[in-house]
Amino acid sequence: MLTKKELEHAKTVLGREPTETELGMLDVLWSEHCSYKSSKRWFYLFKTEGDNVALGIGEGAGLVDIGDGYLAAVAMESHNHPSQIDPYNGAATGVGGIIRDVISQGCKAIGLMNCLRFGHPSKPHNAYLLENVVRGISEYGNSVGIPVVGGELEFDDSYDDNCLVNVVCVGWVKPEEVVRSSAKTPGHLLVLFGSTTGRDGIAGVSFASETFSDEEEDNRGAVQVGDPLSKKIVIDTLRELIEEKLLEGLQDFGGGGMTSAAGELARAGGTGVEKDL
Amino acid sequence: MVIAVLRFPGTNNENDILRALSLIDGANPILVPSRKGLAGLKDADGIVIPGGFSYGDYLRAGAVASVESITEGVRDLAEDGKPVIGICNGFQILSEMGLLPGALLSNESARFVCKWIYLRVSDNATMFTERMEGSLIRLPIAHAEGNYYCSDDEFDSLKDEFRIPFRYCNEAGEVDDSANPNGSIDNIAGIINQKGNVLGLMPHPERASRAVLGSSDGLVILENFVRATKC
Repeated sequence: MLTKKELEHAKTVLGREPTETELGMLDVLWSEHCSYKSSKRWFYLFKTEGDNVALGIGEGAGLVDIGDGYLAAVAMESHNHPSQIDPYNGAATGVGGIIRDVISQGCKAIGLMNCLRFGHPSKPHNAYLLENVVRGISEYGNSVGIPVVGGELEFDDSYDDNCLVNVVCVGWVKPEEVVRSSAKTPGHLLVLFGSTTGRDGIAGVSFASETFSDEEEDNRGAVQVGDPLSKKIVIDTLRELIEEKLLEGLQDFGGGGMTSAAGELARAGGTGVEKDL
Repeated sequence: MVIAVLRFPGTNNENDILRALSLIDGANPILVPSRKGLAGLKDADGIVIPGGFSYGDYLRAGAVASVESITEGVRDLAEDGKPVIGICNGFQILSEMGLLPGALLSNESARFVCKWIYLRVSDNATMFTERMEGSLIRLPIAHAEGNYYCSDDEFDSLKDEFRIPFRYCNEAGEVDDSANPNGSIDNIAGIINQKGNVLGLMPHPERASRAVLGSSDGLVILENFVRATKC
């Protein structure tokens, strides 16, 4: 949810009251999920530059030159809140999202890893979360044909009310096949492809960024339902698009939806986007 | 020889198969997305249907893929005596198509099973098991629906016609209940059709095609398959 201060800032910049649509867009873009507004201050702790870093922070996946004409891609993401509400789908769509980050950079995704934290499994609810999160990760990876090659797991009482589900995807790409997240040619059309958005997942990032309340059950509809079949079709389609050199830019369509995806493409390319809703 | 490696939406072992086949002299494996229909198979001398989750395995594993139009081409090639292999989901598709008898039910454990297993290759010569008759081989399996089931009559004819080339066994080569990973009748891991040119098996020969993968036992099956495309 937007803070009062953010709303004031929006009004100052716009010079008027934001419309309902604009409010919805700001709510998504300035959510923790999309803008990292509370965790951003810690990013300096990560090393993101170096001789072998081909692409640092800012796009779907980091790219590191591993020699012999190959770049390794690594992306990592948490799906804590969704997994706490709906462990199977929350974890599965976390995997789906992180694969998407890697393939949208033009890379071939080849391995998955995870880093999981739960309260002690002697408590039934923790055991339920653990079993379903693990099933969500493994079944999604298996269905799209990307193996889970490693992971780590710890239990501590402090995770009783909020499990941590972090997933990692690793891939590779040749430098000449890297696809950037930018739309720089005026007049080009943006094409949206992939699985459909249903009633599930709507405004998911706003929910995912909020502090938990007692309404966990009410939020279940905000967790997207995993669709590995569509993901595999997207992976294959993307490979063909890249091989036929049909892409100028590409942005994954994440929790920020069209607001975020189209905006990021245009901003990176120094262009604008017209959208008819 | 041109070997068509079919990819239905959701198939995910196609690259493993292409890579394994590319190790074999005389094989020219090509990826054929199922949307190409019959035209995609017009030069094919043999067909591999890889594993994965065709159409998400919705309805039943392999059920939706089995009615795609490209399967008519698979039927025609099989009729002509060309070799056809269905691995894992491919086996499920071939049985759904009726090219192979029986069905693959959910594993007896009701769980997905992913591990290395041993297979006893039958003594009887088949197109796919040349040079390995009677041997003990090691391949990986990875499936939730690999529990082979068929009627008593079908089982009798499979047995009488020596159409069970692969059966699960233990490390010592004994075919017994303890070595059965999924509840299959008579530890059946793979069967062939009456003509002997269509093989369905649950284990993955392509994942055991190079020493670095842990075994190269599976390569022999694929080599036999490639040789058969030349006949």
